[in-house]
Amino acid sequence: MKIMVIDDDSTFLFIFRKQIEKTEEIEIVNESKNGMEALNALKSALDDRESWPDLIVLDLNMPVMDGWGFLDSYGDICSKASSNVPVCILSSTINQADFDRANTYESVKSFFSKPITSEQLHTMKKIAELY
Amino acid sequence: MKHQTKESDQPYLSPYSIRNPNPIITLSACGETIYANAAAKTNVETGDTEGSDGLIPKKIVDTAVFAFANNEELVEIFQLKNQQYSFTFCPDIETNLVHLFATDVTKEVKYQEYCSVISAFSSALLDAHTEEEVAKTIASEAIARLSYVDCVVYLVDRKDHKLKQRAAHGPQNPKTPAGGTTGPSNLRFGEGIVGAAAMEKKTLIIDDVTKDARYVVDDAQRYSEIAVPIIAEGEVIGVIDSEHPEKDFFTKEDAKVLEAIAAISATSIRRSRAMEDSAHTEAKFRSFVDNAFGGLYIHRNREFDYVNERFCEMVGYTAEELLEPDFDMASLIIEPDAAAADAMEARTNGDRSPKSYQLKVKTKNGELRYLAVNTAILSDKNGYFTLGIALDITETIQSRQQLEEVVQSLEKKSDELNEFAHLASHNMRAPVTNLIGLLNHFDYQNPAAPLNAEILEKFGDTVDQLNLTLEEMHQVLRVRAQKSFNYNTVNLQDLVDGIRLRLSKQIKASRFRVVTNFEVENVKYEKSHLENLFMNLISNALTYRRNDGTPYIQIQSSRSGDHIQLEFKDNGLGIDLEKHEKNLFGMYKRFHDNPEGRGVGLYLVKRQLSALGGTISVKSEPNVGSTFTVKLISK
Repeated sequence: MKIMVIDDDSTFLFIFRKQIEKTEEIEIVNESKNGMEALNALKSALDDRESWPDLIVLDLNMPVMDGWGFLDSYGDICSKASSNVPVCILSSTINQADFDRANTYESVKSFFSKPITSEQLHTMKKIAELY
Repeated sequence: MKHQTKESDQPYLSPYSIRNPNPIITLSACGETIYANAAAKTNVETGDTEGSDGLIPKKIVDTAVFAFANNEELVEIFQLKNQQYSFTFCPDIETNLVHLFATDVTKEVKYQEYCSVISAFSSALLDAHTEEEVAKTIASEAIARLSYVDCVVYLVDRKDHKLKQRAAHGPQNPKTPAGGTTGPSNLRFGEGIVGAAAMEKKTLIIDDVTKDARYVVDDAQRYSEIAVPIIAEGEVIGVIDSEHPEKDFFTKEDAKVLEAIAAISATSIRRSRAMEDSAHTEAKFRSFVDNAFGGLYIHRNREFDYVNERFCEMVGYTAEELLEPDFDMASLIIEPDAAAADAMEARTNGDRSPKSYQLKVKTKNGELRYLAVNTAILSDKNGYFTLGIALDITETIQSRQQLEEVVQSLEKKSDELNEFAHLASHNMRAPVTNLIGLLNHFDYQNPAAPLNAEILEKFGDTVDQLNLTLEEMHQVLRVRAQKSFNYNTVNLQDLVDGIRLRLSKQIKASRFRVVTNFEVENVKYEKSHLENLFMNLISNALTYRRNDGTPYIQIQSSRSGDHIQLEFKDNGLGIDLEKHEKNLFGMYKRFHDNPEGRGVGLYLVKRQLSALGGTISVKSEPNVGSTFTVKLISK
């Protein structure tokens, strides 16, 4: 399973990678520091289907373009690719308003709180298989 | 002269001879001898001579002699035994006789007397304005002229419904105070002859009171009595009462004249009572209006027609000033709110429905007051006018405004605190979750594993980040809590030089230029705020510089009115204001992909400025540069 992870926190990415290494059949195809980078990466992946993700793991609070900005724009690319990649939010937020807002996006399939655990990764895998 | 023998019912006086020094003379009327002289007495067997002096009254004899001497027919009215007679004296020179013919004119004379009394009474009543005066006028102007022995006027008291003595006329009893009253001063309806007349609503003539159980003994025993009720609109409002020491004194004629007086009086009393009532009502109403809790005014033809005391107090002008024809209404009303303006507009367009609105007024001494005004359009003989009721709601409005301010400020504080709590917990949580995540991967079995070194390094970085976050939160809280400030003279160039020194490493590395042009060199201000402002704006320009060309920041100062204007212009990356203007000065808002930016600097700058009444604004264009303009109030 191919995962795209969007987060600006290098320490988190380090931990995430270590966690992926311990989990079978998961591969990170792209790491982006913000929504804008991620959109650009997806555009490139339109021509290079090898790096097209099966699942997107998205943080919310990021500079340049935050998680919400990404969610607002990424539908266009998905329709071009005719592939609706499911999104899982992985954030340190505990703000109810964020949970509620995330629920309004159809593409968001689940909402996880950091730190990342192996159980969460297994759930993400199942979600990716489902869609 | 052919006046001859008596006619059946014509009073007739036997011929009186001037020459005969001792003639037989009788005076008869209706077949009865009412006078006879001494000579006649001996010849008259059954003549009732009681009350007679036995002589023809001297005044009659004198008149007969006068008529004979002048050979002239005379007509004179004389009273004999309570009767009035009209005598015709007819001299007969040939026989040396004067023929007398007498006619009883008692009724006619009384009628005339009554007419003159009623006429005089009616005109006297014009000066009587209270029921008391009406009662006195009845006694003094009517009864006194009717030759009654006494008279008392009773009026019904409107409170206890008893008949009360209000006026009396001349009893010959010396015990009675002068002009005072006689008889019982209070009578219930039905009590005594007076009460009976009131109860029965009709005139009562009692010929002999000793035979009437209803009689209430007066100041002196009397024998006949007349009581005439004064009736207005079917209701007894008083009684005119007279008593006489003789039996059978009062006649139907007395009843008629007193009834006439009673009827005239009734009208007068009713009128005076109505006037008293309306004067009383008006006085009550006036006092209510003058002392009303609310301000009252009447406005007519763009002028005040009436203002009560409370209204004067509200607006601080005297009634005289407000009622001046050239009083300037515009100096009173400052700012009609929308509802007031609408109401006034509608009024000028002829709308006469009641209106309610608020007015902001300026009192005479310039104080601001809020009045809640209700107006109604009324009309009288002079046309339409506005009746206004005003309540002073200044205190209510002020306390409401204060309350609103407090609520707003509390809401703002609460929102800010909520936001802060969320941001703080988020910013604390992020590094803490990382610490947990890192520890999850630490290889405890094999401490020397190369991964562990990497994890520890990350652990250190994260702890630093956590510490920094805590430090920022402390700063934010300190800025919020700061209440007192120290104003010191700060030299702007020294300030910039100090910062340049602190950032010298980065400045040199990036060949960044700091250009200054200080029109105002020294500023008296809270020094820590100025340092933070300059540090943030300069380091931001340095951090977000463009690497093509020479990056710079240009700082200027100038005076503008009562504040000092600072301008920070750079040629850096710029900010997409369309997207970010709203969040630019928010907490933990970052716009550039730069790990050093933490989203606290501009937030603090803005808070510190606004704490001292300053502002900050920005103009920016991506890839051209940004200009921050700061306005601050220097001491």
